[in-house]
Amino acid sequence: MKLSCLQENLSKGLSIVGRAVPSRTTMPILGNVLLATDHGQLKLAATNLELSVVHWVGARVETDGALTVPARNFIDLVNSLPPDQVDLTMDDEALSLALSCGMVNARFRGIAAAEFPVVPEPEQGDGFAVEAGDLRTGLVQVTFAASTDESHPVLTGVLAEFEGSTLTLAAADGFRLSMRRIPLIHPAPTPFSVIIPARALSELMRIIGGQEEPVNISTTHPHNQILFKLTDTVLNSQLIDGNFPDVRRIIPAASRTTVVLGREEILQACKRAAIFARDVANIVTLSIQPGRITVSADSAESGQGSTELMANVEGDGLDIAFNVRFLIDVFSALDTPQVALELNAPTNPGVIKAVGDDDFVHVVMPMHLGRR
Amino acid sequence: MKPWHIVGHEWAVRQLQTAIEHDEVPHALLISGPDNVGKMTLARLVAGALLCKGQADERPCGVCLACRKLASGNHPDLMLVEPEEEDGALKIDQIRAVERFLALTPNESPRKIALIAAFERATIGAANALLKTLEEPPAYAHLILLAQDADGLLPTIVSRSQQIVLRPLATATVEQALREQWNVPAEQATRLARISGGRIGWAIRAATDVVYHQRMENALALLLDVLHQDLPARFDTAQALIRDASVNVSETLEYWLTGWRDVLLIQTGNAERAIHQQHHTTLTQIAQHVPLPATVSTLKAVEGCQEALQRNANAQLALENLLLNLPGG
Repeated sequence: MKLSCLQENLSKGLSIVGRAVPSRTTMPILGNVLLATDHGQLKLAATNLELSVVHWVGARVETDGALTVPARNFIDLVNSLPPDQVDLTMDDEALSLALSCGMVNARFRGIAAAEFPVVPEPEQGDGFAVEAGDLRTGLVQVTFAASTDESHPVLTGVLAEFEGSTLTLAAADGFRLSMRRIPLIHPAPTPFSVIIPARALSELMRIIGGQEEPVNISTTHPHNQILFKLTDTVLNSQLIDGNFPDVRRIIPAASRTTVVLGREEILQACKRAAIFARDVANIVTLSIQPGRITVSADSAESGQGSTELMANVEGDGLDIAFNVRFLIDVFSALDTPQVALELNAPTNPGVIKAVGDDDFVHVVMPMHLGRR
Repeated sequence: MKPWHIVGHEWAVRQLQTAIEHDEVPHALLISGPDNVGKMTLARLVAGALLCKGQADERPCGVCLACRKLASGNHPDLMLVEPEEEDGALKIDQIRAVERFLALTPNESPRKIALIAAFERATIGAANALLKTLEEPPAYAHLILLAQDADGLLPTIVSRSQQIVLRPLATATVEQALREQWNVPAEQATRLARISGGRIGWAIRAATDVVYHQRMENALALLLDVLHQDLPARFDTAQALIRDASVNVSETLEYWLTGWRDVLLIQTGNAERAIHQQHHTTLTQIAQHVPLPATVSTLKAVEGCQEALQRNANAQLALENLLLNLPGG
């Protein structure tokens, strides 16, 4: 392998794939990043066996080849180089990679590319396309609700259901459920569903930031891995084996009280109440009366605070308590100007919707309201 | 099927090879047997055969990409878990990591294997954490547990796995393997095979690792020295044994046991069965000095000390107690 590329491009590419390099591992190869020539480009890849990221960098390739080199050292050195042309030459015999850039010369001892875990690449014409913006919204509004408790692996993932021309994302951690529908550009021929680790989706959220073209989603046969193909990057994640709970059952069908109010106002009120709720297990009370809602938190130690908001209330008034962290999470993730709370009783789950956006629904369990 | 590269355990190997041929390898295997008897070697062969992409009747072939990745510790579908510290416990976080590993679909192979060594040292919490995975493993998952003795494990773990019990090998088998496969000179092979007590792994290490072999010689030399020491010197010896990081106390006691066993054999007129033939003169001297009942009580004292150490007794106190009870020279 012999090629040259620009330091800026190489550095940017490494910053994208470098996040997949695990900080500690018992498998030596995972500490390395793969460099390979691919159709006149330089392919970079890193994996932690849970997710892998592949990124292509424009390069002038003289001879083909592939090698893995220690990721941390290689990335640190490339980042320290001047913005200039970088020449990479691989020594097949010694499994080493020579780098030169201006006055800088370095040599990295590598491991054969064949030892690197197989990173699948999407087949041409395979999979489903979604608009990058739609996918980004879906990830922001769903991923946060996934559990971080490793003792229930299924709940640490996000359910992705492909059916007809809709992709439904859902995540639940036992206290809350977030669910969003995303339109597929071409309908899925046969419906199927997979569970994607939330950690992989958080990483996808990070690299999808500047993406404008549609994202292609495909799975390897038989649904072992899922691949997200962006313009120059492919993120690929293992799937979680198991059955996701039937979450649609827990969405209440009807409500006795509906409150519609400004999203930004209730978000600010919740953040304010969170200050006093810190000492009392994050409990805030929503008191709903005709035409208004009061968000309050009361700590016996540090004091109490409340915010009264104008709201459009239909149905009976009630007092209901929630974990304020959960409310802040969901109100921050939404982007509509108005939100709706649909409630039944202080002991029944509350439903949060985005007004004017029927594709999102959030369910959150109430907390016990200690009467004083 | 091509014979596996392992010494002895023909019965277990045949059983596992048949299971692999018929694609009926149980989701949970529990391989038990004394230390150094070949549990890990057998487990690696099973894992290799399950992941190998070579010809069906040659697995593990040792040359395909999967086999090469296994050999260099880089196969993404095998997770090897063992206690992080020597003599340390297997912790619940490590079992959680196994759970996570098995919950995710395989990377390259149709299967995913978790190999957990020294499971007898799993904490109660860790053992319980594994139960859930053992009960409902994903279809592609295989768990291979290694333990010294199944009796010490939670019965709920044992009942959920298929048990393969490895017994110490015949001395002749060890001796032959040492001579033919590791090119050990006949005399040394005979001696090491006798000392090994059928634990082939120990014999191979003692034959190939000079330091390891030296540790045994040191332990035997110390055994003789101690007998001539007065009380203060014996206290010093106990302290030195604890302080010296290069000395493994339980290993030393093991060697002492073989030494005293030889003394007993000489005293009872079975000198030709003694293990340490090259120490024959010194051992005979001891045998003449020490009365028979003292030899028996010494053997019991060494065993008692081993047992006390296993139960987390204060190592220095236990050793001091042992040394003070040894006969005088």
